[in-house]
Amino acid sequence: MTWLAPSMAWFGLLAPLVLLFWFLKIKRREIPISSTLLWSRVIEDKRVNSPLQRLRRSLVLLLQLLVITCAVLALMEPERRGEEVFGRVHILLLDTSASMGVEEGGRTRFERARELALERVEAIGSNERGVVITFDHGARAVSPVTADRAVLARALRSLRPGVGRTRIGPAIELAVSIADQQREAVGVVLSDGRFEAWDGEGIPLPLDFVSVGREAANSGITALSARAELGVEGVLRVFAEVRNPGPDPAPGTLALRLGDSPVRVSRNDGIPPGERWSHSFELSTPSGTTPEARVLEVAWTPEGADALAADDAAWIVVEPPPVLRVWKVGPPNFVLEDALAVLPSTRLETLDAEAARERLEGDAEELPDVIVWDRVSPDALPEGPSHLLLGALPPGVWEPEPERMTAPPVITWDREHPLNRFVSYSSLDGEIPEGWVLPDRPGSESLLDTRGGGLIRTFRAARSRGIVVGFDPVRTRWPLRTSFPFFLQGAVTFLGRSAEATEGVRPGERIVFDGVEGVEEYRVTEPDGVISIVPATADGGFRSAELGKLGPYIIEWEDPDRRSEQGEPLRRKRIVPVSLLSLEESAIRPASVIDIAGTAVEERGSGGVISRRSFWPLLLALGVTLLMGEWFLYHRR
Amino acid sequence: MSGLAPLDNAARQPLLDEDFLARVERLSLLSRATLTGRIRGTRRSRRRGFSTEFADHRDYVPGDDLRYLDWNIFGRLDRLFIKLFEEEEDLTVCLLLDRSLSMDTGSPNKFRYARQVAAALAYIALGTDDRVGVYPFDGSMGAPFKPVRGRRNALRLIRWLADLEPGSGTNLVESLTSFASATPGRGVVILISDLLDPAGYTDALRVIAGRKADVHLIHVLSPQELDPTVAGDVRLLDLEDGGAVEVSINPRILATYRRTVEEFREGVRQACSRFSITPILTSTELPFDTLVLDYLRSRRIIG
Repeated sequence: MTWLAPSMAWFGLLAPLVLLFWFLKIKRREIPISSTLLWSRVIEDKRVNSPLQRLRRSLVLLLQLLVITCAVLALMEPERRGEEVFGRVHILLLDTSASMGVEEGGRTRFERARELALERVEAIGSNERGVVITFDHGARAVSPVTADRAVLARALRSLRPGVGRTRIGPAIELAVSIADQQREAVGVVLSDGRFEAWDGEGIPLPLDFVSVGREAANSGITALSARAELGVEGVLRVFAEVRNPGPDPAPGTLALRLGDSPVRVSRNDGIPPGERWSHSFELSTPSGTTPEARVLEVAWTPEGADALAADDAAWIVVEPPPVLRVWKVGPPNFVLEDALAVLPSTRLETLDAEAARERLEGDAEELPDVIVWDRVSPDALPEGPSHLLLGALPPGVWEPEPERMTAPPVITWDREHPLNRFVSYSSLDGEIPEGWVLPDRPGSESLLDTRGGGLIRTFRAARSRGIVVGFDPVRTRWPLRTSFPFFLQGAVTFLGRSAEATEGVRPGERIVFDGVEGVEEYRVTEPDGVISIVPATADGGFRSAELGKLGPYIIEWEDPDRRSEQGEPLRRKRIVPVSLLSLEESAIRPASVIDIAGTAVEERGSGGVISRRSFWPLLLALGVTLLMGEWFLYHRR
Repeated sequence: MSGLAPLDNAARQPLLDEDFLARVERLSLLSRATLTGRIRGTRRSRRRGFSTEFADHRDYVPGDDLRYLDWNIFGRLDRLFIKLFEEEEDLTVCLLLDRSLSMDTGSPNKFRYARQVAAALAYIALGTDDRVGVYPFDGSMGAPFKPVRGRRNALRLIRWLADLEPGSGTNLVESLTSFASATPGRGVVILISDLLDPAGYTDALRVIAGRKADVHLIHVLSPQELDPTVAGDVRLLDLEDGGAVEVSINPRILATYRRTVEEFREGVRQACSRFSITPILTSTELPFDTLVLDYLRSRRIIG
C-alpha cells in the first residue's frame, strides 16, 4: 500500500476535534422534569456518565469518527501497486517500428503500447525512476532518467510511430548502458515482438515483455532489386518478392510504375498463407536524363484486408550504367585477367608495375576508376582511383607491417556487407598457405576474419580508399569457385560505384556518401516534399539524419569542380529511395515470446504491467454512506 | 417524557363535578380501627359511653348517672350495675397534600389530580359528619384548612383546594414532623404525594405511622414518570432544586429507568408494610373518580 499524499494525515486531527465537540455537548435538549432523583439513580447504576461509556454507546459519534477516518484516508490517496524498490529504474523500451502502425480496433499498436507505457509510468513508485527508450532500426532515449512521472509521460505522448524496421539489439544495448549506471534497473519491452533475435552477450537486467497487437491479414513487398539482363543490351529485369505472412490467401496486383504511369502490371490470384510470390518484370532500361525519370516504384495492391500499408510499395532508382575503367597491375595472371575481363560495364587494361607508374604520373583525367594491384604495390597510393590489392599491402596504411601468419584459418566474415552478399569464404579455410593478419584501424572494415585480425579489409588513406586481400588468391583454389568472380565484381562495383540500380536504404538508416571537396551544403527533398538543407561533412561528404519516411529522397548539391557552359557550378542530383522491405515488419502477427541474447522472454501482457489501484474512490463512497447513516440515526433520535 | 405538562382545559374545570358528587353521596370513609373523637358522632367508638348501642355492664360507683342503672339486673342479682353503651363518635380525617413543585408536573397534572382526590375524600368524610382538615406541605408545612365538620363546609373546602397553588421543594420529614406535633394523634391520616424527596421518604412515613391513626398513602406519579418516551441526548432539569442530569437516552437506559421506578415503588410498598400504612400506588393516567369509586372502595378505604 502506498500513500500518494501522506501529508493529508494531518486532517486526522479532526477526529479529536469531533471528540472535543462531543464532550462539549454542543447540542443537548433541555427538559424540565419533576425530579432528577430517579434519573440520578439510573446514571449511577449504569455509569453512563463516564465518557467512555457514553462514547461506546454513541453510534452517531462512532459513525462520525468513521466518516472522518474514511475522508482522511481518501485524501491520503492510498494505492496498491507492485513491489516498490528504492532507487530502481524502470527502463521502458517502446517499439516505434512500422509494424506498430497496424491499426486494430480504431487505434494503432503503437498507441496501445504507449498507453501501457503510460500505465507503467504511473505505477513507478515515489522512490523509483524511469526512462523511455524508443527503438526501430536504431534506439534512442527520449527522456532523461528521472523520477518525474510527468516528464516521462510527456515524452511518451510526444512520440509518433515510425516506418522503420525493428532491431532490438541497439535498444537492449542502450538499456544496458543505462542500467550499468544505476543501482537497480528493470526493463520492459512494449512491442509486437516482430524483430530479429538479438545475439548479444546476455542482459544484466530483468526484462519484461508486454506484447501488443493481434493477428491480422497482411501482405507486402519484402524484396526488390534490378539488374541489367545479361547479354541483352538495354534491358532491365526488376525482381520483386511479395510475402503473405497472414493466415488467409492474399490475392492482389503488383504494378511497376515509372514516374506516375504504370508500365507493367501483374496479378496473383492468391498468395497462399505463409508463402511468397516472386515476380520479375522486364523492361527497357529507363533512359531519362534526370534521376526522377529513372525512379521505379513497385506497388502491391492487395484485394483483401491489409493491415500495414508501409510494405505495399518499394522504390528503386535505375542508374545509367557507367563504364568503369579498371587497371590490372602486376605480373601476368591469366586467371585474374579473365575474371576481370568478363565484368560487365568495365574497360580493363593490363599493365606491369613500371608502365603503371608512368601512367600514374601522367594526365589525371586518364586515371582509371579502380586499380587492381596483383601481388605488387605502388610506392605511394595515387589519389583519385580506388584500389584493390591482392596479395599486397597498401603503402603507409598499416605501420608497422602486419605479421604474416602461416595457414591462417577462416573464422568468420561480414555477411551483411554488400560486397559479401553473394560470397562464401568457407571453402578457403585451410587453403590459404600464408597471409597478413590485418589489424583494425580507423576507416577500416574487416570483410574476412582470421585469428587476431582480418584477411580481407577495406581501408581509407588520404584521398583514396581500397580493399586489401591479405593473401595471394592464385595460391588457393578460390579462383576456381564461383564466389571469386562475384567477389571481384562486388569489389569493383563497391570501389567504382558502378551499381546499375540503387535499391536505396531502409527506414531508420542514414544516407552517407563521399562528396567533393568544396561542397558546403546539400539540399534534401523528402518523399513528402519537405525540403531541408544539410551541411556537408568536413570532407564535403553527405550524411543524413535517420530516415523516417518511405519513398525517394532527392539530394542535390553544386559541384565546385564542374562548371556548366555558362560557367555556373554544375548542379548534381542523387536520388536514394527508402523502402521497408522487411519480412519481420510485414509479418505482423504479434509474438508471445521474444529472444533476447538467447533468453526467451515470455509475454506478460498488459496484466504484467505493475497494477496501480487507487482506493480513494472506495473510501469516499464508504464515507458518504456512513455520513448518510449518521444523518439518518441522528434525525431518528 | 415531557416534564411540565401544558395547562390544559381540565385545569380550569372544577375539581369535582355534580355527577361525581351525586355518586359519592352515600359513601363514608372507613377506618380499620374504632377511633376516639371529640364529640359524639355517628361513628362507633371503642370508648364505652352512653349512646343507644348497648355494649356491656360495669359495677356502679358513686357519682355515676343513675339513669343508666340496670334495674332489671338489680332485681335479679341485688347488685347495682351501670349499663354501658358504645359511644358513637366523630372521626378526624387529616388530608396531607403534597404541593411541592414536583407535583405540578405530568399530564394529567399530578397536583390537580391530588387535589381532586383530596376533595373527593373530604366531601365523603364531611358527608358522614367527620371532621376534615387539609394540610398542604412542600418544604415545610403550609397553612392548613383547619378541621371542619358537616357538609355545609364542603364547598368552601373544595374551593380552597381549587385555589391552592403549588409550592416549592419537598422536605417530607420536616413537613410531616411538624404536622405530627401539631395535630392530635387519632383519626385517619391520608398522605397524597409523589414522595420524590432527595432526602427519602422512610423517616417521614415513620413519623406519621407513629401516631395512633389509620394512615393511608396515595402515591401519585404521572405516566411520564412511570414510562418516559424521551430519547436522545438530553439535559434533565430538576424543577425543585434546579439540578441537572445529562444523559444520552436509548432503549437500554429507558429499560433501566423503568426498573428503577419499579424498585422505587416497591420500596414504598415495603416501607408502608413495615409502618402499617395502606399504600395506594396510582398514576394520574387512572381517572381520579375511578380511583375513588372503584379502587379505594375495593381496598376498603371508603365504603
